[in-house]
Amino acid sequence: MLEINWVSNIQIRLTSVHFVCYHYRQVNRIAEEREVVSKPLKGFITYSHKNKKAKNKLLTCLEPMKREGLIDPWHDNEIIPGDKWREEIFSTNLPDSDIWLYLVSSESLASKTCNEELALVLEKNITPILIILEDCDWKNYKLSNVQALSAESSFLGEWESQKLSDFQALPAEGRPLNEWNPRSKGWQSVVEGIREGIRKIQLQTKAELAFKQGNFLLTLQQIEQAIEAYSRAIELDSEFVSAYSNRATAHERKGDFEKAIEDYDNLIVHDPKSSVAYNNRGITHAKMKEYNLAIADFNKAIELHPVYVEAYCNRGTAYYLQNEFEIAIENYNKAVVLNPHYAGIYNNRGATYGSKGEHTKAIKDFTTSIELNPHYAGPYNNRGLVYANKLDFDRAIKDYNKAIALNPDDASAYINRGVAYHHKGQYERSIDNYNKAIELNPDDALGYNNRGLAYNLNGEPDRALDNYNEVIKRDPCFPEIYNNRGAAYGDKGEVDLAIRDFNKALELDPNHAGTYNNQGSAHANKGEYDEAIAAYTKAIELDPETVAAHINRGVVYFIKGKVNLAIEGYTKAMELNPKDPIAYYNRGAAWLHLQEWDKAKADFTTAKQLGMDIIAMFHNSYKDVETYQKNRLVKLPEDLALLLTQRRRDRYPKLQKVLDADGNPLESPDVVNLREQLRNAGPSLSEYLNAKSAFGINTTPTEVFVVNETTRDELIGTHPASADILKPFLHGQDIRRWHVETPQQWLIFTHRGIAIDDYPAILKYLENHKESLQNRKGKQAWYELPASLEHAERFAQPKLVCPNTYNHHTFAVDTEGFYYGNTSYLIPTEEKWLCGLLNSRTVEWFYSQVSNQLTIDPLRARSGYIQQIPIPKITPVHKATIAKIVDYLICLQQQPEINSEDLKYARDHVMLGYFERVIDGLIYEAYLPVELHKSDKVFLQPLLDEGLPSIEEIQGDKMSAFRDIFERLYDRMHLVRRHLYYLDVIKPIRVIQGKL
Amino acid sequence: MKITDIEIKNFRAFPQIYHIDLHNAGKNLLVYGENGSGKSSLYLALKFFLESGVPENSEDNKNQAFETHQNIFTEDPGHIKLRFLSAPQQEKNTYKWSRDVKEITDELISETSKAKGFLDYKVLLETHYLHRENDIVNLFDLLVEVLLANTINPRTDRPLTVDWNAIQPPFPRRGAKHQIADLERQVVNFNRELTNRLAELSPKVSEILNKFGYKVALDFDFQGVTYNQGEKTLDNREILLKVEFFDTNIPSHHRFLNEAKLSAIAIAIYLSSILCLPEPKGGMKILALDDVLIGLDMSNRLPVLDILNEYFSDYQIFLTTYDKAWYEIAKQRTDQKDWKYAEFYFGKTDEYELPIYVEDKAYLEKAREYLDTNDYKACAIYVRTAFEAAIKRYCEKRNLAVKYRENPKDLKSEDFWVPIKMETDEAGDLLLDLRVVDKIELARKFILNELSHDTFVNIYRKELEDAIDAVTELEVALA
Repeated sequence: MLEINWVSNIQIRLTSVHFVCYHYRQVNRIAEEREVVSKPLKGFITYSHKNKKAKNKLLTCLEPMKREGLIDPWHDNEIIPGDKWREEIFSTNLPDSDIWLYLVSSESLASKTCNEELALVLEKNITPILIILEDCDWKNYKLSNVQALSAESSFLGEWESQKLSDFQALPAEGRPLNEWNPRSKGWQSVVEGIREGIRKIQLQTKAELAFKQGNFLLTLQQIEQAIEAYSRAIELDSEFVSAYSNRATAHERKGDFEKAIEDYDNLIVHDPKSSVAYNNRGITHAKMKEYNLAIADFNKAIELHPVYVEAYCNRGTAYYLQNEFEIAIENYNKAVVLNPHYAGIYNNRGATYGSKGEHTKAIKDFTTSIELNPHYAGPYNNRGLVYANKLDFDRAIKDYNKAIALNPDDASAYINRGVAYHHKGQYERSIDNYNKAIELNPDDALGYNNRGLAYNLNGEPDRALDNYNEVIKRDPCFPEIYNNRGAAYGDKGEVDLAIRDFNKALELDPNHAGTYNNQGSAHANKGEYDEAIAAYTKAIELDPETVAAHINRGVVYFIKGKVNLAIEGYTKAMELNPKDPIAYYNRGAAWLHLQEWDKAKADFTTAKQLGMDIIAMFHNSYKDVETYQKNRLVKLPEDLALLLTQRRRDRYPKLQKVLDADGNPLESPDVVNLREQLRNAGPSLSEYLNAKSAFGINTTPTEVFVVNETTRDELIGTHPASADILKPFLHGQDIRRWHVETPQQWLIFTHRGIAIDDYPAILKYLENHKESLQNRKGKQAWYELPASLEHAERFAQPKLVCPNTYNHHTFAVDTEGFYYGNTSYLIPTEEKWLCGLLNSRTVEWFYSQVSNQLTIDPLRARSGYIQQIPIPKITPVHKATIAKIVDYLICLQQQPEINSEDLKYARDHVMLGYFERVIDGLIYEAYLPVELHKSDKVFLQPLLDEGLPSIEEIQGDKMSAFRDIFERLYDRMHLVRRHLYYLDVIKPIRVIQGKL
Repeated sequence: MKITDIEIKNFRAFPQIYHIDLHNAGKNLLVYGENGSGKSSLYLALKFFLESGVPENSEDNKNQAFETHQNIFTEDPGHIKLRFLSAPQQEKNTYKWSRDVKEITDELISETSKAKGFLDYKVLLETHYLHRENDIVNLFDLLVEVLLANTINPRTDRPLTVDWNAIQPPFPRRGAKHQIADLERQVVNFNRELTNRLAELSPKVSEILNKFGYKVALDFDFQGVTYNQGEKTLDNREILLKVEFFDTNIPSHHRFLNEAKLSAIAIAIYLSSILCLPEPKGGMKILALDDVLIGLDMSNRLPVLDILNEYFSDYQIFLTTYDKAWYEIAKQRTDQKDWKYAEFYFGKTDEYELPIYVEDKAYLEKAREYLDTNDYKACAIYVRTAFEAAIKRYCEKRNLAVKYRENPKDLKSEDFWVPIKMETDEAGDLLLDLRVVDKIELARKFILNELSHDTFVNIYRKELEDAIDAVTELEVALA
């Protein structure tokens, strides 16, 4: 049966670009500290001295109010203001007043002092009341005149265009007092007016107090109470615009947008020129997703205040949220021109570019934003998303880290980081992040969905299902959730549940090609091939480019015997993705079925070149070529059979995962092909040796069975027969490359069936430890080792040994018949050249490729894999040359110079390393003769030409002989040196040397 | 095996196609270039081209993509093409490196890259930062991180810089016994390797330094770096320069190692490290020195030419300089047969900057060109230049006594010509045939005399032709 692929269900919904920041400009009017309401208001009377009679009349009229404690009038007492008085007026009395009473006449309008006082009143925002004494031109008196009169006043600003007539004027309707008959009626009107004015001010002051209280409560987040306070303020003073504004803010914070809008509406009624009000109402509209209303508001705000940066920015955001990116960017551009140092605008524009897919511009904007304000998490998160979209996950994670450091409570940043790790294949780390996001925001379905996907890909479908169920609990309409859960059921093999989910998914989204594909696979796994084909067909209809559906339908056609249709599907898939080895392999299998051998071979070869382990695939489908031929009564051509046959291998390695989730080969074809090439270079080590390699013996408890020299001498001294079973012994860690030192410890070799009574001294010694010896498992007697006499034969033979853990391949030659514990691996052979082979880089590379390499050092010797090492077929001369240099190395390892760290002997060390490289060269030539010779790289011949002496032939000081040989071979003109130096121009050598 | 043609398109400073013809012989190239004119781009073009063949796991990886070197004024895809001639009469091979050709897989290029020597002036700037106290100079950083950084350790097949980086922080935490032991083992191996490397280098360095005229023997004092477990530092990063003077007459030894000499020593070390490389199979060896001679006194530059001549005669050499005076001198001191001369000028148009590449043909060749186009005045200038160059070069080559003038610029052609006229060969006969002397004298009256500018109006074609003949014969006689 061929592989049926689940369509990759990595449909992760990324959280959208981090919500763009809004810019409030709150209008929290800072209320001045005012005296308590019950205190009389201070009234300042301004008049022309010509009108002192009227002033006195006014004072008389105010007398009752003064006694009531409502007002405390002040006037200059008719003294012509000298400097001292002037100062008293302008720095103390007038600025402290609450109410300003201006007796208007032609004279007062003309008076310089009166105008200066008016100016100060305007500046200090004192409530003015005009008392019109006579008919004069006060109605047309422009306040801008004041400026001309008052040298120091530059404050006019908002008053500029106003006139005196904009102030409250008394008596009623501004009718001058001298026109009233009787005049007392006029004065009565004045008094009533002032009384009303005082009441208003008192109310305003109360309202102000309530407003301040509201502000205070709002900062305390006591929103309800704040709203109450603002309402009170508005009740007291229905024109109190700031109270409306702040109440709107409070409503908004509460989430009560309708009421907020109501307040803004009121605000605008009372203050139709307030650009801020429009801006803020726009924000609320935007939050209600009423973008058109929002944009209208922002338009109005900009109309009123054409350099209103925030309004441009907000309008941009409103367009952005409607996916009108171009217009949004235009608005942001304007905002940037108005204020190039506003970090938030860059962030927003960046987000817009990001949504448009213009990554470079987006990154640039986010970076600018970060430079302007490095303490804001948003742009980091956003930039991370853009990097993630560019598949630069490392950078993305870096940015998310920063965002999380700045704002550790933002669940979306954790989700984003999780997604990045997810794409990197680090599912466990991504799950950690989703956990954190869920902890922060347990109601968001997205975290569960993503966590489910991660669990599923991490091979834990049960936990994935739990998570998907959580998603459905929270958001039954979550996109693709049923598809995802169905795929998880499918992975678990619960096909019916899977189909149910896919049906449900299609109910919600009937145009999802991926779901149809999955549904097809579920049907196929159930054996419902017609349904499967229908589903795949639907998937293809919806998305004709979906490679998986073409391949999968092909597989089902193939199973149904419609081989030609299958081939058509695979061919289509190849057109869509020429790098998909599955399509090639499957088509190859189809050609095989049609006995189109050449075409089959071509497709299989392509699949192999694309990095697929086709032999393993074939094994999974048909076991092997023989079985295939037997079952189908055909005979494959030899070359094709060879392509699909694993030669000389004891067993199949665990099926290696050759493709990642997207169908790309995980390993480069260079690596895969070289591994295969080496594997086929010759018989495996076990076949070659015809003898069994194994670990040493279990000597537990070692402290009993292995003794030092003193104990050994005692034992022999007590009874000479002890010497027969005291064997020189080594642990794995005692073994060095090439050579083993003569051991300084001995093993009491009490093999099974030993006549222990012949060795009384040993028996006595062992009896001291009888208790721990008896606690061992196994069938041996308490004094015996779990070893037989056969072991003794094994140890006595010449052999290669290596420790069971090591950094580098560490094989040594042992011809002395030492004994070893189970931390050593023994290969019985006399062929020393094999030691050179096993220590070579080529074998070390091959071994690291086939063994289940532990993720961390050190490497570990595993019998099964060591026995698989292929032994190249080479001439005896070749072997002898390697063996000769192995002998040099064994001898060198024993020299004191080599073991010295004195830099005097640095060159001797280079010599040792160089001889190892020479062996490497000879081994490369053994495994890869064609590649080396094509590039004119040879080692054997120049070494033979050199006439190297064997170790026995070297007379006298071996060290100086080695040095001579080394200097000759190391010369820059020597072929060996030159070929070693330039060897890595050959591609497979670069692979082995880790340079590719 | 030599490079015969270089074609550079849209690479770094070059916004268009530039073609440099090194003739079928694969000549060496001497380039004069103003700053910013593109000579360094040419150097880098060659360097990255060769390195694209060896995608090692080294820091240089970032140079592997052509895109990163695209000329900024154009978006048209660029490339670098080199043509090689492996032997006379054989077919040329063309190799191309571009956006589409990520890596040149040919083994020959890879091999050439491993055998090459590329040194630029920045390296010599490093000599100015060397710590120096009482004439004790620590060369450790210069050697390990710059001059020898890319040399290959024969035991590990890795560049020295990779071995060095392997023992850099973060160091293992205290108490991590295995890791510390591992680090210390690597430190010992690094020390051994560096010791060995220095031992191989030092005789060659002394030899080359002697060519600079310094009668000294150089040696390196390296005791090995050590890992300080307590402080978690790598100590004893010291390679001290030991100078032994043969000539005891040098009055103040302690001022021997000035910056110019250190530059010379650095060049000597680098060249020695190249000379210690194993011989490549293809026989293609390239040496490129980008402005490196600027750190040297003029008196030290000429010996470099001798050194190149003596030790690097089988290399194809690329020399660049921004010093016009030195360029002119080097031109005279090198053999036209082996060398090609070119000049880069900085050009600017409305749209972009571009290097202007001027091939410096032989003067006489140019003179003939102008004669053909009937530009007699220009022709006369070139003939005269050819004459002066020939006699000056001869005098310098033979160390002929030339009349002393305080300012060398005041030397007149007469000052060189007179001694040459008098020059005799071993047999005591005059070197120059009297017939040649007559011809030259005749030509000098009208054309070769530099004081005769105002008489140029009446130059006749025949006289120019005669002058060209005369100088041609003179060049032959003086060769």
